[in-house]
Amino acid sequence: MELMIENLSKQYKDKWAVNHFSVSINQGVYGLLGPNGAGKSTLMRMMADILKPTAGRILLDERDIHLMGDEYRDMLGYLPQNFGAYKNFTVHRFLLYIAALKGIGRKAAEQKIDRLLKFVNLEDVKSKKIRALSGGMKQRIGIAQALLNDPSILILDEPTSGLDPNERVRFRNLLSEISSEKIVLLSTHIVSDVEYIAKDVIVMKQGQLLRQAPSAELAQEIKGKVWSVRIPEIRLAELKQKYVIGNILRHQNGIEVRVLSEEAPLPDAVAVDPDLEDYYLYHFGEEAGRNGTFSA
Amino acid sequence: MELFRHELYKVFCRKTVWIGLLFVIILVCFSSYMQASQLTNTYGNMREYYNNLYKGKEGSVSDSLKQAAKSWIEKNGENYQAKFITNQTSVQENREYGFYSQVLNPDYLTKNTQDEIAKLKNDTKTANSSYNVSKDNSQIKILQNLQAPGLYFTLSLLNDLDFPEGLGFVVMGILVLLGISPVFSDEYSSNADSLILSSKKGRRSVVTAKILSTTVYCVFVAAIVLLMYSSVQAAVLGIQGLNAPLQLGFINSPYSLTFGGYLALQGSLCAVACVFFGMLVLLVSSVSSNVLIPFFICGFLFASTAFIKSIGTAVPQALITFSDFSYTELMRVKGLVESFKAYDILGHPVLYLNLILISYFMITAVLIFLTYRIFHCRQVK
Repeated sequence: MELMIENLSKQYKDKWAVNHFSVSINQGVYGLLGPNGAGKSTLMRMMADILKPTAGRILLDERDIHLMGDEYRDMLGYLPQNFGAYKNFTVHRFLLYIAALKGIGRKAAEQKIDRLLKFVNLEDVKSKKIRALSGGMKQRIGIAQALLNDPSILILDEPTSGLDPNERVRFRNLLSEISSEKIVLLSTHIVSDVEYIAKDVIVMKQGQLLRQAPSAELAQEIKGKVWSVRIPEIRLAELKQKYVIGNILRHQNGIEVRVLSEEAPLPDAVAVDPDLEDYYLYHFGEEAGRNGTFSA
Repeated sequence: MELFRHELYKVFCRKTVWIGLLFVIILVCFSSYMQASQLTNTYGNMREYYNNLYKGKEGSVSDSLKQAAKSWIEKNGENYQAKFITNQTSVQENREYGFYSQVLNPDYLTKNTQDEIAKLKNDTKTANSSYNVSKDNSQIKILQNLQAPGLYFTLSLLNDLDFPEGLGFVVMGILVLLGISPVFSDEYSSNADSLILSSKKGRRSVVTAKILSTTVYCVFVAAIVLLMYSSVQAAVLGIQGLNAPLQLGFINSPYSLTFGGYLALQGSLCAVACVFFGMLVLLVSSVSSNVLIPFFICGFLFASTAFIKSIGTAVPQALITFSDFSYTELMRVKGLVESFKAYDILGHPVLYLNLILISYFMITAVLIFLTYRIFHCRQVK
């Protein structure tokens, strides 16, 4: 199974949200990384066939998904960003409704719902109304509904937002389990969500494809540009003004700062092995810092 | 079927619907009781009235009864009128005057019909177009087939005939607006449309389910409003007169219906009108993410045609014709059957009732098609 995005573009008035984007993906997990406004959600909406592109097309095994219509949507599981759930519905009723939308019969739906609620750890709130649930719980319902029809293609837009670290790990593990037979594309600001499980990371900037490669390969591209240096805390502000700063670790006698720079920022700075987080900061550091979209 | 059940649940689980229903039921029952009380204040207990004067005498009127009625009217008529003006009549006097007037009514109605037929026959001879001849002949045929008028006790049903004309259509319209405006708008405003549109049955089947649930809801609205009103009327006044010819309520009506038949027709037309109106609201809801937009646009359309009707002949003819073919007129029912009215369609006279129904079936088919189209092409930006 191969999903090919050919020269995909989407224009809103005078802005190109997605601009000549081409990529090819098959079974496995793919991470879609980029800051706010990069065009990730727009791309995902086009892949979910709920937004028509201005130009280009998306092909599944060489068939245009827009022409496939219901056949494509039958294979699709989609979790949008800020997805809407009916607050007056109970968890159970909402999932039954989604199952009906996906063409799953009542009996089969009941069994799948029980299994999925167990998986996302929400069996205890099955009869509770959605408005009574926390943000993280609602997000887990969103994940469950995306998996209801056992989709071959899973598109998840920021699926781990609102999940605590334990739930994020469970989610990563689930994706790893199911991804061998599926195409899974997830967009995130949380680098650790994709760093270890993604086959490839697709990096998006201002609507365009920046890079597609395994995370290790991306990290290697900025080798020699990531430094670790220990400084007294009072010098941090000065360093932030000159360089893009990554992780900050506090020690008893100062702080250890990870700095992105073409050259050593300070004489005692030590070059360290870069990771995907560094790669993200290297390309989006100032943007991400400005609009607060980056988090580890 | 599953989708339809869920969509129906979505309509009925809204608090606004239940609050609206509660207010409407209270208002309708109160109004019905007050209107029924007006009659009982004038005529006393209706069952007693019926049993004392009408029972056993219904149907064609005997000559002796006609004579008795004429004598009573001659003897007491003027005195009664004088006392009536000053509100000094007793319940018994009101009953007797009402009864004896009704005894003489069938002769008046028969004469009225015969005069009308004679006039129409004359008109056909001097008509200047084949359409007018055809129209007059149709009317003659209808009048000749009318049920012979007689003596019937119809007081307990008169309010039921008038109810949709007044408060009835207003509350039905409001309930349809409350229940149907959010059907699509809520999906857009809550971002649920992303999930719906990306699913297998999210383009066509879900629209079908929404249309069916709208239909069920609208029929429910008409049924509950009319039943509530009629139940209170029946409890206070009884239900005699179901087999009375409609002409005893609407003198110029060309339809050979009984009161019971008319009430059944009225209920059906109200339900159908609510469904037609509901489809319009559904269409406007499908293009708007703000629930107030379909509510106010459709509400304005609904209210404006009723307003035009209330002004009378002071508006241009085009507006009068427009309001004649409005949802409000269909929902009010009375104007469709109270007199003979036909329109020239390709040289053939088509009765007003038939024409408005055909028109709305066609309009609603277009609205439903557009709703499917709009949602099918809907994009989430």
